[in-house]
Amino acid sequence: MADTIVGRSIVGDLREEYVEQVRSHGQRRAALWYWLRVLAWVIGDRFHRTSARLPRRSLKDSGHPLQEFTNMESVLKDITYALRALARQPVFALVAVLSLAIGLGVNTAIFSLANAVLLRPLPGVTEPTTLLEVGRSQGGQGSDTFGYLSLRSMRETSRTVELAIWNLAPMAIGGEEAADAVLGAQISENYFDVLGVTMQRGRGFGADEGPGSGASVAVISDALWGRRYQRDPGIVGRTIIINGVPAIVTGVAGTGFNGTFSLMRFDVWVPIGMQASGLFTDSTLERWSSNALFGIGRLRDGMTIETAAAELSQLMAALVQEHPDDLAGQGVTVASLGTVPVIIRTPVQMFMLALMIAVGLGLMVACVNVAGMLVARALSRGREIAVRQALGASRLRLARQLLTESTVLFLVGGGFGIVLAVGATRLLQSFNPPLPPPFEIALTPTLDARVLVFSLAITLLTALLFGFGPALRGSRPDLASAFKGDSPAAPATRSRTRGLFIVLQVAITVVLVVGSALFLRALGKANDIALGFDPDNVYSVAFNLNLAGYQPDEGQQVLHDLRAEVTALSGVQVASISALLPVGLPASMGFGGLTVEGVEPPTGSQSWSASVNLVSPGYFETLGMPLLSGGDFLDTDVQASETVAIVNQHAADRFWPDGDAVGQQFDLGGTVYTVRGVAGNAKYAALIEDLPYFIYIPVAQSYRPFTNLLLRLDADAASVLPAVREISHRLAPGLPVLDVLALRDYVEIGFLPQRFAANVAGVLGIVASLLAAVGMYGVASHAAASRVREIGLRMALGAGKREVVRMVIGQGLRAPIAGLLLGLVVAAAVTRLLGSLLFGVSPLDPIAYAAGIALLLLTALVANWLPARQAARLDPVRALRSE
Amino acid sequence: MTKRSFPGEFEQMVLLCIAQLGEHAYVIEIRRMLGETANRSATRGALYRTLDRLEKKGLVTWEVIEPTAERGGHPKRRFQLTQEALEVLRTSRDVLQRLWLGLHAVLGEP
Repeated sequence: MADTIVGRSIVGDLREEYVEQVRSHGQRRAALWYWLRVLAWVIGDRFHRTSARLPRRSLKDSGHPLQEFTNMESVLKDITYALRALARQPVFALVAVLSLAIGLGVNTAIFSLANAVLLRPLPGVTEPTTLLEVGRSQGGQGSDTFGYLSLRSMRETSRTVELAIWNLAPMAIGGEEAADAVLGAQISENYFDVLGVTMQRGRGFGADEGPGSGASVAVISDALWGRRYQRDPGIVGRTIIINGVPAIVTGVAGTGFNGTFSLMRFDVWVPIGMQASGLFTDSTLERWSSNALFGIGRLRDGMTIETAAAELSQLMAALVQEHPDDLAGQGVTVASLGTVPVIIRTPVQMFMLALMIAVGLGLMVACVNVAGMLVARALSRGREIAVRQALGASRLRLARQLLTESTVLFLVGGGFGIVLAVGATRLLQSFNPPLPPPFEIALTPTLDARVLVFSLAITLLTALLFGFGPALRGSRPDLASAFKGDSPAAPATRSRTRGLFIVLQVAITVVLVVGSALFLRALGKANDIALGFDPDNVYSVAFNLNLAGYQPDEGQQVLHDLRAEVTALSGVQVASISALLPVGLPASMGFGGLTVEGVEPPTGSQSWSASVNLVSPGYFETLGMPLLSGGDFLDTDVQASETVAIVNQHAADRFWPDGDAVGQQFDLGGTVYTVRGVAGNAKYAALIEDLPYFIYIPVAQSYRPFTNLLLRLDADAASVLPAVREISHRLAPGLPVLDVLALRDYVEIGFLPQRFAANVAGVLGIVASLLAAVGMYGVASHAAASRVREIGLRMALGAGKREVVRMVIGQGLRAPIAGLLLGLVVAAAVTRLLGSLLFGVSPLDPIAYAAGIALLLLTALVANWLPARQAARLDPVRALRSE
Repeated sequence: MTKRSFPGEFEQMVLLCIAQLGEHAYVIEIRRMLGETANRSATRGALYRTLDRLEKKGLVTWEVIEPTAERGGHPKRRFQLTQEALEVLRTSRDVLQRLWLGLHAVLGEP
């Protein structure tokens, strides 16, 4: 507003009216009133200044349609009118707002999940766009962990990236009684600096606290500081026990920083090389062949990902040349550091995209339904609109009012959708699949600014897309019919419009139902996937003997005694030890490359790649995995005896195709093993995987303190667990017993995406079917009502009730069948994108499509049968007399 | 009839409201009278532009009244009709009265 007397007096007038509003309606409403008028003034004033500069002929001072259209005060009047009109038709408003709230709310909730998992920048770090993930490829494939020495060498020589090194490490915090099992990480001393993490208390690690220094220090998370130490202000400098070893807390990480995996929460960071059991020992750090560390980095000034990738690849190639035996086939992958590691990023992105498409389709069904209702409503006001047109209102003005009404409807629906989304995100936050402790999925979808902007954007977009058509249609009533009072007769154009809406609704519903059916089929097929073992009645108890500070000899004895005592428990059929859980990550222990005399490795490699697990005698019996030849490990297979191994059938067929593998020998990471037996093939890392060469080694010959006790029971687990805990406490005091995990639940983690997608698509399919049914019923009713005289005439001429029903249903099914055909074509195209998510079920699976066809036909029949039945009950005489 | 421009319907209504309100011819009051008496709901923007136009035509003037706390210290304008405005209104009334003569029967009035 110009700083003139006129300008200031206008402001003063508004303020004076504002004071009156406060007196009449209260502070809040007055404030809203005030700011709406300021907005109206600003926009209107800008319009008039612009129009004043245009030639006189192109715009009149008042009454020009464009001016009418953008006159903000009249827009505000339209909004008030729209709200009153909705209040006068509560049923219409309720159905429309509810449909939109569900559609918009679910979209917002799923977007909040995608935001939390993929879009939201890593919290607690600075300039996340310059952070990188550096991974190891093998034979040009994959993006896995690195060896410490390789990363250290690249860290020292790279000019493009400042590299840091880390690995996750389960830890026990605290003394003997109240140990907390937490997820921690071992890090290089520059980890926090590279990430730009600020300490809210104290500091990170210094140069003298790096790998190999043996420094016993720790940084803890804000969450752990609150949870375990009640935000003790004296936490810095305090000594805490980590894996049985005292460590001094040097700092508390900034609020919000929980490591670099968005789905997991890290609570403790210690230097690589800290001398605590369970953490990397110096010998691990000194082996080129051990690959267990993650590399992250920040681009140096002026560098790009491409230059960094090129340089690191060159550095790695030089290392491979220097150490061909240990680093054969290794390369470097460089990618932006996201909230999800590269190795699972693409599947996660595809999964989220599929979810967004599914809920987007559900929203479209709701919008099409509402659009149909808006058209019907606008046309039923034909007389009112015709009168206004006759009195001089322009079509644009009327269309604006109708568009305002539909926008208000969508915004109200969107508002309730956000309320629904709040509840839905809370539900998503509680989603916690059973992972072996201390791992847990930490989903934190929230309605932050990005999600709210998305919600507003889709609300306005759908309002425009689906409100514009009905607004244009409604602003062009058939004047003659409107003045004569001809309604509810449906002119051909009205039927065509509503018919088109039905086609769209049914098509989208078909896609959702077929998608849901495909995922359900995939789940069913997943249950049929031959695991190669029987997970039912098998339970796993995780132990980490380092957490109580056991040395290898002591640890071996504890494991041996634990297995023996637990096996003797009533209800336990057999118990065994296994370093790894089947169908999970990690999929292999790091033992280096495999070579077999007389069998040439693949071109370009010095050795074969094989996966390895450490197991005790009884493992195969516990899992119900067959031993096809030879025999199981024995209690006498210990450190001092001959090194033996059991291989899977795939390895036996490849390396010893002409005879029995039993008794043959191979070299694994420099140690020669003799084959004791051949086990059946199984699933090792995932339900859909390339079958690897798998090797089992006796745990007594290669100690690993982080291990699992597997029990096959013939009774309910709950009755056995207290006894297992008691045995563990007695044999290993101070060792925290982590939760018991049913192996069936663990294996089914692999089905989670499919189950989730089937549930979401299924719910949406049901909601969409109901909306489509409502829409079809409405159209059929109106169509029947418009043919009352015709039906009366036919009945008077002898048509029976059955014939009338057939006639009405026949007409009513035309649009749904067209929609069904369209939907089947779209479904066939879209479901091709689902790929490996379907576990081998064809995207054109006939049973899934048959289910979709059956459901939609049934819905259409029922929706059309009710009006048909009503029509068949007409009194022909009354029908003939009707208008 | 002189060559001066004949005010439009809305402009005449505003002039008459100013005449009716006398010493209380403030914008808020003018707008209220238009709504209550003439049943003519005008937007603020339209009213300010009309007053601006009437001032340019020499039909109204305004004076500044002391600001009040309610107005946040912003000034208030009180409008008055000029002599020319009175002439215009008189002429308009006379013309309309002559045109209305003898139309009772057409309007169905006794």
